[in-house]
Amino acid sequence: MNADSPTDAIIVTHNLTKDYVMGAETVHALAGVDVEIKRNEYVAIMGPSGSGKSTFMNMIGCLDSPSGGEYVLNGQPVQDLDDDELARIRNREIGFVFQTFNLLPRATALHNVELPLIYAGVSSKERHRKAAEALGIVQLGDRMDHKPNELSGGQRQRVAIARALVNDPSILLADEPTGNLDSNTSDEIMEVFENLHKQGQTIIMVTHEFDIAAHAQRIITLVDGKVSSHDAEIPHHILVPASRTVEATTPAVPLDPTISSPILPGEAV
Amino acid sequence: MSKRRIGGGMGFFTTITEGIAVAFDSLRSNKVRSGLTILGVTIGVFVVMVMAAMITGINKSFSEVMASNGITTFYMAHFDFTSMNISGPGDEGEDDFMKNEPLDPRWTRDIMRLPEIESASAFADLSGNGYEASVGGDRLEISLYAVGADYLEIDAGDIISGRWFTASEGDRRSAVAIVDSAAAYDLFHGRDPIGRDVRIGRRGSGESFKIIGVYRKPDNLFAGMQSHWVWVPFSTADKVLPVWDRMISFIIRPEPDVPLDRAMDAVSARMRRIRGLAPGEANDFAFMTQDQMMDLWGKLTGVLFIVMVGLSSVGLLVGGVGVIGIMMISVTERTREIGLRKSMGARRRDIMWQFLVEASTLTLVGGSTGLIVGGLLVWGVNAWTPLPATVPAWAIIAALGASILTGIGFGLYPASRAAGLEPVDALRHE
Repeated sequence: MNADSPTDAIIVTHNLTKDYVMGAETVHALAGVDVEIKRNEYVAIMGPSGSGKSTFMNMIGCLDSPSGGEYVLNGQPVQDLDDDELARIRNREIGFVFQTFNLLPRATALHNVELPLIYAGVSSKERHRKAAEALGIVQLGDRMDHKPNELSGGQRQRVAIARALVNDPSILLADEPTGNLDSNTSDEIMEVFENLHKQGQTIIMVTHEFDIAAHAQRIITLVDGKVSSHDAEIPHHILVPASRTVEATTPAVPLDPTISSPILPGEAV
Repeated sequence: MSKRRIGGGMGFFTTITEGIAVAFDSLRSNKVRSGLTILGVTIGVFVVMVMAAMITGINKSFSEVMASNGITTFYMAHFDFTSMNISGPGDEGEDDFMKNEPLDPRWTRDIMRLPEIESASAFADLSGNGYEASVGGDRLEISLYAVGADYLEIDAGDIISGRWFTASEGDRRSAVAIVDSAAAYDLFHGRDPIGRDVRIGRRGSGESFKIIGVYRKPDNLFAGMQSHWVWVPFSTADKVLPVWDRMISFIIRPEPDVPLDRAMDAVSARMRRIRGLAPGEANDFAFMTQDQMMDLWGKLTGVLFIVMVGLSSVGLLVGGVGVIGIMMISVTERTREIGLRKSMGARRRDIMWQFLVEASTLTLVGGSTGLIVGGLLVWGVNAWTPLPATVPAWAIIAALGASILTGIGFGLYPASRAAGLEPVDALRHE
């Protein structure tokens, strides 16, 4: 990534809000979020359900538009862009990885990975080359012609990662990427993420699992639509061993972030 | 990096190929549903194809007849047969048919004496009047034509064997007849008919005629419609057979270089004198020119054309409503896919085009099916019936164009529904 923007920040949000009107009531899903994420950072976003982390994720990914505030992506204010420009940003700047993979069921792995390139207007020959290369990065070079139902969960998610990477995006945006995977496969996906990060990829990941979040350099915690912590510390004993079975041995620490809040001690905003 | 190139976007060709691939996928996975949807389009296109082929084929024959008759040759009758042909009984033409005095064959001599006129001869189409030809015990229903000696020139067919009758044979009211090869075969079972006698009349009665020739009508529509033709001199028929005088018409050919208008004016003036019409009184006879016959035919095909457009519109409409239905289902079923595509950078117009291409692929498949089935039927008509039929290129283009337009027109609403979905909502759709 070359850096011609004035700061090293790739994402800056200022007082970002999102309101949903439900009948007579207005729900403040985001109640003024200020966040700065630097280039090459690996950030996890955590928070109990209803904290606004998914809404925030959708804002960052330009899938949804904010009700107020500012969002600067790669030096460009995003809140004023029209539909086509937003589509271009989703195409070029952001690589999505979803919890449910979201692969086209009837298309081969190769064709699935080609999808963002189709919307980028890349020629067919070039699409094949780039998609095959991206599948090579996630070690699926030998599964290119397989359809999603012929692949394991981990393989499907790796196809999705290849698809997210194929257009060389500024940010890899992952929404609960291990939510549908068992722990071994989760580790496998986390390893892929770590390798990508080492090669300079900026990664933002929403998760509610501590041991997954622990792979990130930094954890941003949202509570009630606001940032409650910009750099939460993960209690060290949770990470050793890095496994969800820890829950049983350390009942004093609330592991399920949906149960209580604030879930983690950290500096107040 | 902050200002990357805006634009690029999805290539047009890729849009088409992607859309077609998705459409065939959906066709394959929902065979019955898709098949029923496109059936209306198939029927619409089928109707257009077959009717266009018939009209074109008949038109072609018609022009051939016109060309063989000569452009300035015209017809005269005691009533306006253009109005009778187009409208039903009870109209003016029909009234005149019974009310006006019939034409007298002798008047042809007066007309021929006009300097503008080369020839005029009376004829009567007696086909359908129940005439039979019999040889020994064999009886055969025939299409009898009482014509002048110059009929051969006007009809421009071929003498297969023997000869046509001469003008003097006509004047002498000789009992001679010319038959077509079908009549010759069915009457004489392969024996040479020339010089043999045949009785011509109604219900066993009749007069004896000597066969002097076998004639083949020019290859056109009218030749194909009937067979077992027999031609006899008009003067002979007028004497020995009951020729209903209201069936008599004149065929008149102007001198070369005389314009049609002038020739008709001259004949009209002479006829008014013969009929004793006072100035200001309306003509009690009427002409029909080749142009008028063409016009008449044009009117007829115009009606056919409207019927054709109407029928195929109904088919396309039914197909179109089906397209709305199937595309709405497709949009709902694939809401998540739309969300995914949007999150991968698809613009509104990319999604719009994807669904429009899918809809028009469906209707195009329907249209092509109709085209093939219609084409086979036209081929069959040509091969097994005397009716001519030609599929004109415009009909193929129009049919396929209409199918595609149906897809686009009726796909517009579902496609814009799909394109307008918010990515975040579409992705969350269960």
